[in-house]
Amino acid sequence: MTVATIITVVVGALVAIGVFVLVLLRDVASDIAKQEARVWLPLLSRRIVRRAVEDLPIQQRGILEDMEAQLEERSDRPLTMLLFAMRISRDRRLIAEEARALVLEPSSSASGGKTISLSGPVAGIAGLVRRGLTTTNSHLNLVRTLVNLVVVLLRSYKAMLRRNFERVRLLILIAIPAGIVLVQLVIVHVISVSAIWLWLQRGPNLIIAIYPLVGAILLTRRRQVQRLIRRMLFRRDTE
Amino acid sequence: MTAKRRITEQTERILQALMTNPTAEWSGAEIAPMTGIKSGTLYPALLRMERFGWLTWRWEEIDPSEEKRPRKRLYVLTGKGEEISRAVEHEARVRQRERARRKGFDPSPGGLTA
Repeated sequence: MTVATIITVVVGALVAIGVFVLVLLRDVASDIAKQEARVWLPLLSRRIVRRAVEDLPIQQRGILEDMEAQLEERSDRPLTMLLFAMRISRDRRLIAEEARALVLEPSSSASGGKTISLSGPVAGIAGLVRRGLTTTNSHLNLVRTLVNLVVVLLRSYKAMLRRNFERVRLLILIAIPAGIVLVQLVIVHVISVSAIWLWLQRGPNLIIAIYPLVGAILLTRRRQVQRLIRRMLFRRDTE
Repeated sequence: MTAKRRITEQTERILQALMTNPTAEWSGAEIAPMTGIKSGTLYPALLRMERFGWLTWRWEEIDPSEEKRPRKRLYVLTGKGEEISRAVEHEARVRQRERARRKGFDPSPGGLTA
């Protein structure tokens, strides 16, 4: 056996072991992450909301109870809880400003003359084009108008994503697992083809023969092997 | 002299949602999905509307220890809020009709024109 063959076999074996261990441990790791998330994310979310409410005038801090009630409604979705808390935290200044104004001017009796202002990408683009046409026609203005145009388009794209959030989320939910499975299949395929190629090049060899064998076992008996690993890690039957 | 009050798109959406049943009491968790407004934006808008006297709220009558969750605020439109909502609805209809007329289509019954 030459040094090159030994290195090829050792590196191949390490890569194969690494990939299969990753495939196997993925579910175990996700289980652990899920358990942790169920405990830590709600705690973190409550903490964030409490911190956000600290900015409010004392008279308005009762709103915390309502915020916590809304957090509890999302308790089965820890990530959504965290998102809710982060949104509150992001707009804490705005909330505090309104709360302060309410304390200073409780339920004003000002009557309701009003102006309606609606914003939208079309209005934004129209305004930009109008300004671009009426201002001095220099390169700087043109660049500024183009940059603003891109910003407006990006904003409308963001609004579109928001409107179609459910569809995008569904797409992500399908695309990510499909992508993972595809990558796994490609990796297993590459390893198997390499093993067959090595077999043909170097003749029958026990170490080389192990690759597709281990691959086949793991692909067909993946659940059982994962259960075995879980038992070893947690010392209890998780089934 | 009437004070000019700016009604944002969010406020308009909240008013429209509350007007689906003006006498009902709504929690923030119910208003948010109806209007598509996120929590961070919803709270300032509700506080502003409360300041203007367009809505009022009361605490939900539950025992938090029994229900194992905190109480919610229940919002309800005031008389003034209803009045404003009607005006906003009217404005929206006028805008819609204006837009339709510009496109050559009259949305009123029997008003289909080329």
